[in-house]
Amino acid sequence: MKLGLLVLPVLCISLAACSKQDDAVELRTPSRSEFSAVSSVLELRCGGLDCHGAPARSLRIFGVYGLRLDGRDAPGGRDTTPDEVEATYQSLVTIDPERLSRVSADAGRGAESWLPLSKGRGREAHEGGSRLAAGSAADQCIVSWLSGSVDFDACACDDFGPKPLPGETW
Amino acid sequence: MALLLVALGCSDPVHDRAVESLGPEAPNVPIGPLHRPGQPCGECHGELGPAHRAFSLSGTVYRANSGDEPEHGLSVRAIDSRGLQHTLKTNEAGSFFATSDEYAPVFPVWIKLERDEQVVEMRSAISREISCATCHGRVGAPAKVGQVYFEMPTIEGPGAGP
Repeated sequence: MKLGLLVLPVLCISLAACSKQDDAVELRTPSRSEFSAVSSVLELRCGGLDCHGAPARSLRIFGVYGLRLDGRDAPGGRDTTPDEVEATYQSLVTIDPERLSRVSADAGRGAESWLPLSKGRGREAHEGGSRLAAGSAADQCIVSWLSGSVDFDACACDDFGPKPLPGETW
Repeated sequence: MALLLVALGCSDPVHDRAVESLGPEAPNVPIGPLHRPGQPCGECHGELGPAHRAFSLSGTVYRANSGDEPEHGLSVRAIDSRGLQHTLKTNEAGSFFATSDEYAPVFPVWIKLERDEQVVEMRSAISREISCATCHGRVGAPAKVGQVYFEMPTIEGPGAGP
């Protein structure tokens, strides 16, 4: 009797674990083929070794300025490789995936609420503060990717670098 | 006893281990600007101590990409996201540092090394790290750059060569 009491729950749990999951959710992701231009922006702005170019981050950005995918490469060495762009893509689209899917399905509407963009814009707590000012070229580049049509001009003209005060040089 | 428990509870074990991992002081080098070259200064000179002075930027520059010879008297120029600039000089150990009172940059920060007309500029921005050695180490690796160095180009004069 005691054995029966033990076996029954175990059997139920086992059957439940093996049953087919019919409630799988299909998520949409933005374009992979046009991601390289977006990756370039992210690598420069967010992918340093002291931020998302570090292996311990949930969002990992691979490339020449930070974390390398191939153990034979070092930061500052050869340019970002296609495999690194792929690895960055895979890392990025797994952050807040449900919202990303909704934004992608709705032509970018609500993009600002997707966690990486929300943090990048400084709308919510982010150790790195605001790094993607709303409306900036970098921001437009990412939003356009989320909208389904990458604005390559915006991605290319992202101007991230030192800006000395008027009258000063760098 | 209760006070002791509270005090122990307030410590940060990750930080404590990081400080401990730096090891003891080198013999014959007094605690001061010349000590611990090449180490991540911010581990101790940060908000959590144990050093009294908090740094906002710090590092060590070597003469070449390998070896221990320090680069002395080099200008280290920094510019932050607001455009505020600050220039530091490397000391006899090759080290430089700014306290938070001297320069409180708003990250990201960009860095240049200069001597006379020779300039070496860091390719990427510093996003938030105050210690060069956190990202720069003796040996490059997938998540680590080699040591910071300023190698003057070899000038071949008329009498140079075989």
